[in-house]
Amino acid sequence: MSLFLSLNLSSNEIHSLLFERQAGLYALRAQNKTAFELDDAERLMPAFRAQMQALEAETGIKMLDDDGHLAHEGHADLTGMSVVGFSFSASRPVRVGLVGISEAYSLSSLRRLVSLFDAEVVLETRLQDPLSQSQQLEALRAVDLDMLVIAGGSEEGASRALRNAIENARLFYHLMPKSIQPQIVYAGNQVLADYARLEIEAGDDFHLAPNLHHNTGEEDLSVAWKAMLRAYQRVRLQQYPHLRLLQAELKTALLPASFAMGRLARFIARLSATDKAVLLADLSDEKTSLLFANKNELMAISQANTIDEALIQSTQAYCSQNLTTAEVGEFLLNQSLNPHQLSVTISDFAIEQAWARARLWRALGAMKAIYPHLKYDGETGLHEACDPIILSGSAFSDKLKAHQSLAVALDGILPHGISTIAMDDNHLLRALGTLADKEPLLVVQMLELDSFRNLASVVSVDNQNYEDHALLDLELVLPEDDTRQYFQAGRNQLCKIDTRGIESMRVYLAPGRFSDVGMGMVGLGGWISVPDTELGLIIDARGRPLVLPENPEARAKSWRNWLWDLGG
Amino acid sequence: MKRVIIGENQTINRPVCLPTHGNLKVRVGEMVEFGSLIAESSQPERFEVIDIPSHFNLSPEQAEGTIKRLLGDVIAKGDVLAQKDGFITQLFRSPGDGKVVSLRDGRITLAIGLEKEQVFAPMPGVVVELIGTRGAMISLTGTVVEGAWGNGKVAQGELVFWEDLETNLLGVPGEMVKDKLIAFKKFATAGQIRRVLRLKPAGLILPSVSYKQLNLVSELDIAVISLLGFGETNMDTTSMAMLETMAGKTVCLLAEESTWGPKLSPLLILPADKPADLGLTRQTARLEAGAKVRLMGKPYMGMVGTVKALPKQPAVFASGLQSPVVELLCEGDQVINASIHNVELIQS
Repeated sequence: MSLFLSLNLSSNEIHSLLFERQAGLYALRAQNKTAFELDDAERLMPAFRAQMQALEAETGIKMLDDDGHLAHEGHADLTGMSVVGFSFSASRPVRVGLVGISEAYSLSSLRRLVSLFDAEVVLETRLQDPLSQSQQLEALRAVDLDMLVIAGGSEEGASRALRNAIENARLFYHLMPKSIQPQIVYAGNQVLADYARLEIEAGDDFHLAPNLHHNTGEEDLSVAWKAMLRAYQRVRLQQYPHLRLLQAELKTALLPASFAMGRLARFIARLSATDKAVLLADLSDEKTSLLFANKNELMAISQANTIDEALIQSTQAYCSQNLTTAEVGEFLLNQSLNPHQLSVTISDFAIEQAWARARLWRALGAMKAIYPHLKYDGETGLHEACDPIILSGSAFSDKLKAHQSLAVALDGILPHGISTIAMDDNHLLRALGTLADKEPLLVVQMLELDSFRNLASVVSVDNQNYEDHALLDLELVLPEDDTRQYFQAGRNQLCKIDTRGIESMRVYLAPGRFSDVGMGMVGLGGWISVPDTELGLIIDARGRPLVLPENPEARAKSWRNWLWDLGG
Repeated sequence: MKRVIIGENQTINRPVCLPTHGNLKVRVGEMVEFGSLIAESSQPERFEVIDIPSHFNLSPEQAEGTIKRLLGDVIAKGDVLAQKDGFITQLFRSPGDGKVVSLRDGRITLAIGLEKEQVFAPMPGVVVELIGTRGAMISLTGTVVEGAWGNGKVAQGELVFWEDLETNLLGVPGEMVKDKLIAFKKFATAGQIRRVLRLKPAGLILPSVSYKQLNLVSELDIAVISLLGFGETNMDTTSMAMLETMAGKTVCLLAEESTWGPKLSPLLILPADKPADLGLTRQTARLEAGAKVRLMGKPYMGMVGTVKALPKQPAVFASGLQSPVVELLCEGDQVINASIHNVELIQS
């Protein structure tokens, strides 16, 4: 038997998953969540040991040795952990400054690079701007940075501006007072790489990465991930010095949780037989993270759950109760003070669901801003074909029922075409992401085991011809007796077809002349296979954008009605 | 389980830190007063990079020969930094008092001026620990009321209830408000807040802050604390009883933001007259029958009750959500089954 442990630390919880391999087969053996305040340095190791003891009690496997330390492979008496993964998902962002030559070739790439690493970009310096070196230095002084990432310049190109930026980085590193020792990541012109290292003289705080752009001009962010991970780890260990003890106990480096999930998103996208992308949406108490992966690219965004005027208004617009901005604002502000507070009234729960929609909408908008080629529009939704869309996080798994989670995902994302929407209740993706590089077979087998809860198969019908009323005809073939059933989806309808208990049902989609069901062409239909899901087959014929009444009461009623259509 | 401190003889340890490293001005065991300097750091007001090659139209190598200063030199405004000899001698003079911090490729970087950042004690007390070179932990025992939200400022002053002042038919004289901490027993309207602000108080103690008032109170220069959070709720009975014991006395309002370490809860604290006990007999509040709790969230926000029982069966609420509950005996003999997630244990 071999054991694999993945541990995630958030601001208020330690979550561990224990996997085992027996006779070549992997399984999730046990998991445990322990409440814990990250700022409480003295409680970290006792909380960790208590969690390991809880796992021991559940599995009967001894994980801690006589001295209370986690046993690793090679331990004299115990089985020990073959691989350990460690991720970190607390909301406190890493404050990052970006220095690039130009907007198009360096700064936009840098924004995409840091988006996987819990970064909040607090400074951007474009070296092409007519700022003097003194002004650039002043800009660096004015913000409290945890990390400075420098990129830009081609190998044979001009280097004066970059040399000045490197000198500023040296002055910033050595002369300016900071809350922690900042990390410098250099991913620019490689001709200047040694110059940068010698000039900045930052020792282990300097992290060198290859140029983000190949000589052909093609962007490859993955070349800088290693350097970013090292820098991220050093920032976090300075922010939370007590993590060193845990890291030493686990004998593995910590990863940002979003990075771990990103690994899995890429993995699933590559495994996919179709060209469809994968979307992971994680809505935790602290932040909203989205990861979008297709065969070529990984996109990520992570946003703290800050409450601002725009979010309050969009939450109000998504709300299934007719409430004032003040009511919505006060609820959200109180929720930010007490994230574990339970919504006991109908109106509070309606706001909570609306807030989840608004968080998805805002995060997708932010993702579009740093990945301009993402086919997303705030009104018409995500035009990229995504299958599956996997939901996780306390906003979904702790409070919402299946139909409510589905409604939040559909309304917040507005997917196009055919998707399967699944729920990752146990944060399996994050856990597997921390173990994937050392135990890839574990990931493959766990994904094959259908470890997620399939909520529904969704067919989104888009039809811009408003004279059409019947948008889609469906023919369902039941596998047992080959009997057929027929359905029709009309404009602005959200239909639920119960397929529970049916292993794999074949459905023929016959869209109207102007209806697009994601088969590659307007009006084109075809056979699809619908797996057994909790809610069944959902036909979202509400169109894109959703047509909502201007009147607030009527608009709230529309949201309510659609929620009822999905299950009450 | 969330806890809220509302009680007498409570010991509060408050970190007072610079955001960066600096110099400490206190020692362990030292008594400090409200406003005592705890730590300070100095940094240049600005940096200036002077590009001598472009000023003198020389190559960097040639420009280096014209520089008359060494790294680390302290310079005064007008001092010659570089000199190019010739038919007409060209000079480059320092634009301010400062220090040469870098010399590279003919460029001189000056750190000009000096700017101090200081942190002060938000309450009287004793320094119990030094936190690196950033600051110190200050400890104080007294009567404490913990709040839910603060606007990031601190204040000290005599605590006065606005409702007591408003009884004066001829209006509230300015001297009865000026430099005092004004507490509202009931939800304060924006009009009332503006009226108080005109009389220049040192701080405001509000039961709750409505969404519309948030911008106003967030941006005030004086300290503001909301005891219950956001909404239009009156003060809870436990906080009110404790505040009444503080009335007429000098109280510290701590609503500062954390610059280092964990998030700080906003507090009102009245230093104890007598020396603190060691807290050896004090019990940490636990959720059990007889424990005092305060309710959060709708529909009972701010209501105080005593735990009657901890039913084993979870309850389903109007929203459809299910949660373990506590059975509470509240004011007016009202019995409420509240979600365990919506109660704060009162530590008194």
